[in-house]
Amino acid sequence: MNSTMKQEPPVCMHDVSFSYDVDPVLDRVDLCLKEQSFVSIIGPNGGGKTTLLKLMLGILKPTSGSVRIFGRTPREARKLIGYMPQNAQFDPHFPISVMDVVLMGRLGSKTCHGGRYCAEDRTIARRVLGEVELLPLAGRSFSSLSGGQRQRVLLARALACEPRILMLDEPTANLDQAVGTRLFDLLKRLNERLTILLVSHDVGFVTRYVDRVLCVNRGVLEHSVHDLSGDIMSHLYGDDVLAVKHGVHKLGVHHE
Amino acid sequence: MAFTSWGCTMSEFFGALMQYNFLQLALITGLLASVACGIVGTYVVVRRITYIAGGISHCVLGGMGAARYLQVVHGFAWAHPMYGALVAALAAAIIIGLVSLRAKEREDTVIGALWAVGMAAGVLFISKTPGYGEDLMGYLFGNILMVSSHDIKLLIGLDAAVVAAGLLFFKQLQAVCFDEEFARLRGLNVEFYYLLLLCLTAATVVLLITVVGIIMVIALLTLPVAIAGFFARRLWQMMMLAIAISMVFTALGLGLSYGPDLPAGSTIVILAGAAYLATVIALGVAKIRPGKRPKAIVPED
Repeated sequence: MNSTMKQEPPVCMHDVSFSYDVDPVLDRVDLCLKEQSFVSIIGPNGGGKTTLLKLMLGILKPTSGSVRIFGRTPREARKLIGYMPQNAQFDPHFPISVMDVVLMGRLGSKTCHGGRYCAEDRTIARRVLGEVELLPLAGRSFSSLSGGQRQRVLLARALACEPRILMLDEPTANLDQAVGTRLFDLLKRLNERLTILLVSHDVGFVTRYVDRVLCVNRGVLEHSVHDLSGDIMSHLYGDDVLAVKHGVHKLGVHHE
Repeated sequence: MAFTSWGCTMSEFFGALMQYNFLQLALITGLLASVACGIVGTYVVVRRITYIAGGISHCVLGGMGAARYLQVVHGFAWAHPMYGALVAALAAAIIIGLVSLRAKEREDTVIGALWAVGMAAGVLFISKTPGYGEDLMGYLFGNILMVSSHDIKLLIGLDAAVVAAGLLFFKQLQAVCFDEEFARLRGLNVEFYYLLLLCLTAATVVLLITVVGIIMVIALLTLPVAIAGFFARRLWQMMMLAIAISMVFTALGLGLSYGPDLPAGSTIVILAGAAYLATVIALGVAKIRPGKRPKAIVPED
């Protein structure tokens, strides 16, 4: 980690367009995130939220434009990213322990080679499990956990990568409000040292925690969460969808 | 009654085992194949690529037929059917693997086509080889009692290679099976490990074909693992358990088939199938009776 990298922003996209076939999913996106920001990608279904995240992760390549993570290509910056996918994709019968899942975050680390995880990997895995308050369940079977616990295990796995930015895809999907709140309290604590970027469909919920939002609907507009207004929301979701209102909303700020 | 006749059959088998070299070789073959089967079969089951293993195993007939043809008709003594099997299995694994990685939507079509073409090629070669009837039956349904001491050296080598690779890349293969996308993001060469897994599957299929033949390979590759899956909580536990279960099936099947002169491969597969069914029923009964099993879901703390 050299000094120039320290100054590079965690995520910068310049004139990025992406299409799966003909119609663009994302069109000429420009954005830059600041270090240690807590950002949510919001927008309607099919608007390109997950596509945007996948471009940043390097899973997808932009049709045109450039994506930079700490000044590098997403591929070069892979080791700096801690990724947490949606929980739904896992085979519920896969025989694997909590510890084994978290250890996967140590894959590709330069310290240990071969087919087994080494002592250092295990130390780090235990530390991050402690951070998400699941250390006592380290030996448990992953499939026996509740939804909220599984999400925290996947968060621990992302932390085991020792990342500088966390990218999370719908971390509160299928969780009830209380469990989701607990997860976000944890993320808020982690935000003291990490940049956090997440995709969420639950606008009302996340705006209580994040400080910026990226509104995605083919184009991307960045807002401070304090500027998030009914106008913006109706522009984003269409007039028939009402924004969920709560304390931080200030009306009257106009969309560019 | 049944129990004593089983006992007689087994004691007769043990007596013969001391006496006959071919039985010892057969037992060693079964136990060796079980080790590879438990390790690779576990990866195959959790990654859900059983149908790919099926495609690979049926392609093997083409390779075995071609090798036997070269051996008998053209006098190439080195063209042992097992080499043919290995070459065909590895080729099928690579082709299916590349198609599955590059053109996912055509995967099932390609597997189906290779499956049939491999078998057809095998049948053509064998029909042009004198004395084909016996060969064909052996390839399709297994001929564990025909394993020679030359074969066993080959099998040991193959087994050692498969087991070494399966264990040496344990964490990588586990990660690729559990969450391929995450593994890729950690910089793992996911395509390489996927192809490696298919090649290991190919080698294991060749080992198992000696025991139960092409048609029944899938049963032996998946049933011990499926039974182990009911009890194992971690991948390596599943492997160890599957190895043990598979060893019991092959040894017991060999023993039980010897006295009444039953085909060994079929006996082993029937045993495996019956044990799987019995496990499903026993666990189903245990689940219905309340308070017998701990609750699976841990409450939110």
